[in-house]
Amino acid sequence: MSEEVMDPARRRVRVLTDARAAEMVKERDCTLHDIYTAALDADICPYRYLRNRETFSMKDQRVLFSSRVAVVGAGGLGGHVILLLARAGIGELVVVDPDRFDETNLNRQALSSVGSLGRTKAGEAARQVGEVNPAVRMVPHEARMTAANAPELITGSAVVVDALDNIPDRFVLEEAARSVEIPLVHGALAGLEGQLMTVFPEDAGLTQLYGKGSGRAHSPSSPEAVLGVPAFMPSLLGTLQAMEVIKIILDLHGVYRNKMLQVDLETGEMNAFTLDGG
Amino acid sequence: MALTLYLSATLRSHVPGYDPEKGVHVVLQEETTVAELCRHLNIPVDQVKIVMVNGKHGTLTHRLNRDDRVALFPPVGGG
Repeated sequence: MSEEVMDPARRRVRVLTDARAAEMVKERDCTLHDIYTAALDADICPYRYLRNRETFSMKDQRVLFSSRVAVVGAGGLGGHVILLLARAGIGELVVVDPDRFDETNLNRQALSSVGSLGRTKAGEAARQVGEVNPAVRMVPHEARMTAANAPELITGSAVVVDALDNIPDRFVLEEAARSVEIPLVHGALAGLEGQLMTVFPEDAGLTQLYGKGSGRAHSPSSPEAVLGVPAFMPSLLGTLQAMEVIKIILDLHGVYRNKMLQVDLETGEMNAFTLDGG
Repeated sequence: MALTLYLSATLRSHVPGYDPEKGVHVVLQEETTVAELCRHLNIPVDQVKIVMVNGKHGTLTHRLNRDDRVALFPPVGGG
């Protein structure tokens, strides 16, 4: 099934091109996901992942492809997170968002375009990931996450990404993540500033950032309402969230647990603050 | 005593001419609390969710010392 190529560092690598993989899908009556899994199990690198090496080993790539990640919110943060995880090689993405794209999303949301206005964000995520990396299994839910459905939506995922746009919903998602015992990667922003924190089920979590009261959703005096959300911080923070997911799945160092990574694009500073119990 | 205060996001608008790189230098009486510092500058205490003093997690009742570096953050929730 494979051929041998030299990577840019002149290392020989057995690879599988998508053209050959597509032929095998027809021959074997299976999915591209199945073919990628078989290739990775045989130490054959899907050609699209060649430039992930050696930052990610073949074993890493196999682990990423066998992982499911849930992304709740497919707007400013979520759009970037979804596309990055699909390119990196996560094998299955659950995307939850009840909204449709409108014109005010175009300033920042990676999945939005003039052509996608009016389409559901979850459905558009599935469509665009299908164009970027059709081996990724997509599970879109065009539904609002609630306390009742959240555990079912995210169960079976290795990690859930909090890409929501209001504080009360973030607490609902955190509670669901605790109930199904998976880590949550939180990101939130306003203007040119953003914050990141990873919450494992046993951690104090979002109360460290917001206190006990979660407040009102979409308050007109909230920093994000007052300062808006230009394109830069969703892109940067989405990148940091996606990397946090990779670090958790591959058990790498540097996960921001019980710490707030605060990013300020106005000053160009990133600071990690250790937080006490919430 | 003199200390330096750094403000995040919408908290900056309460201090006219705030410079995000330099922060704001404030001269106060010894042992002033963070909440008193906020009131001194007309920063609404209820908009402050996270207090950091010299890089460590603090509270509004934390008593400040000379040359402290205080950072205050509002509840940021956008995505």
